[in-house]
Amino acid sequence: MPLLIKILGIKVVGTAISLIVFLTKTGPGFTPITLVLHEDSVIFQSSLRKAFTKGLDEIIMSGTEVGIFYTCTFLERDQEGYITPVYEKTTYRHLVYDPALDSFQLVTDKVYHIAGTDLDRAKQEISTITAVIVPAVDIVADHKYMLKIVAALNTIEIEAIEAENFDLNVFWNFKYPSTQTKWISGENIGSL
Amino acid sequence: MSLRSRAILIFTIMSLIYTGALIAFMFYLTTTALDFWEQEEIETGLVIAVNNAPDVLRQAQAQRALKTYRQLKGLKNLYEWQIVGFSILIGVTFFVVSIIVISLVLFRITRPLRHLANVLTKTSDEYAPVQIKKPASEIAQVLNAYNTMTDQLKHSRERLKQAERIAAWRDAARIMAHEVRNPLTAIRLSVERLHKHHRDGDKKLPQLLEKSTTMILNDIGSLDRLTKEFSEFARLPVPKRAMIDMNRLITDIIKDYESYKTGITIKQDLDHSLGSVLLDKELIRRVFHNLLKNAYEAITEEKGEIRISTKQKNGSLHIEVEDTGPGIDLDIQDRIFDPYFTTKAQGSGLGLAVVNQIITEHNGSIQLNSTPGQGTLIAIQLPLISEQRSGEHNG
Repeated sequence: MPLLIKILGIKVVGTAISLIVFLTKTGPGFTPITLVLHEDSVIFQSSLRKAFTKGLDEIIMSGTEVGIFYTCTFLERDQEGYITPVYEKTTYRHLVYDPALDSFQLVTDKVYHIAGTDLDRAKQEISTITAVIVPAVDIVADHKYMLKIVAALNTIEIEAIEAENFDLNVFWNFKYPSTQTKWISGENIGSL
Repeated sequence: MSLRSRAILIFTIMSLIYTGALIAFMFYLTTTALDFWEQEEIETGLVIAVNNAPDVLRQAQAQRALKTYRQLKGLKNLYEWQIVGFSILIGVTFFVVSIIVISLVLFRITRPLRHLANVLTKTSDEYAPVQIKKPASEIAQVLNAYNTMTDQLKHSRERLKQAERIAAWRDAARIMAHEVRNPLTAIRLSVERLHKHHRDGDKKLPQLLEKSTTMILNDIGSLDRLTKEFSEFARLPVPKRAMIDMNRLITDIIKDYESYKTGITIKQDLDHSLGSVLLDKELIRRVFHNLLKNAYEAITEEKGEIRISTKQKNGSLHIEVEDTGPGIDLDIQDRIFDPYFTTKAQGSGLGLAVVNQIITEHNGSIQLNSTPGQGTLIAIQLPLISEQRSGEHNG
């Protein structure tokens, strides 16, 4: 009986501390978007922060494919205020760990190998997104532009609990991280 | 703290303890059950199996096992949080529902008791005893006993009132008979004497007739006065309040009595800061007439003094009428304000009863302070009602 009380006490205290941490912690989010003009094209870059929890790390280390969908939308607003999307693309980047080779495979638009067992580096790679939005010539000087990015995790199969489409977004409490720029005039984009 | 509040507090504390224990127990069970999903020895064994597999098939099997193990390990923390959240939700729901149910049950239990307490308070304040609707519980026995008691109390009060009414009628009849008998006896004797002298052919009959008829008329006058006083007492009107200058009223009344009896002086000690007060002028005038008449009649010596004072104190008007008469015996002081009680040969016993009734109708109080041989003091206290509130009273 004293052992039960001791265990119960430890569990209760542990729960209380975890609950406080859980309630005070912030969810995943993006770093501010960087828009640059490179070789006559408009390129953006941003990174996800706090995207991986301890549980998600374990899922990765199990060899399960863990991927992130990045949906990028580049909006244009003309002088009359009409808004139209000039660029919309969903990019899927995923990470697969091979326990036999003890290495990570990061798949983006092209296959990319990372040697060794550096999980942090792999996570950093998958969390960073860079893409060409539009050619610079398509930017109208007196129009305004805004870029919006939304991220989401993929679904996986977990045989042990007979879950064919287990949504990994549960690790983010289904709060999809997103970010967006302010409305920037075409003239300013041209001078980036 | 009321019984209901105490019971709710105790149940709230107990529910909190139960809820906390439930959450802790659920969490303990869950984490204990999920501990299997995080065993370092199993993970190490599976990693070794993957690395040292003799062939590709066994390596694939080991990899699959390691994959399953690490997937579950990844989900463990998530499930723990979900179960903790669910436990808290269940616990809080249980807690809230418990408090609501307990409060309702306690309300139903204590409502008849509260009702009983209210009714008992009213009954003790001499309101009519009220029966209580009986609830279907153990409290019904208490209420049964109470209802029986109220029945008995009601009957007792009715019997008491009946007895008091009969006693009052007897007193009234006795006093009336006594007061009427004296002049009637005198009238009968006068008439008999006249009849005898007339039969005997007495020459002094005219003189005797003159004397006897005067006496008879005096006695009839006494009877008339007596019936008038009784009639006035029976028809004492409800006060019609108006703002009056009390000091002026007293001064006016005193003027009527200045030549009432020689050798007696009236001393005034009036509070001149006293403004107008809300009273029935005619009824208060009757109060002072009765008190002054009593005071004058009480002073049997050749010289004496009557003192009248007014004073404003603690929102009340204090009036005192004091005489230097012989005072009132201690054993009859309690009955001095009773109707038909008198120590005077010609009194109806209604003077001070009327005074008491008028003061009571004005929400005031009256007290007698008398020491035999040292005079009598009648102290009256009346509530002072401002002009602003006078409208409310009259309205």
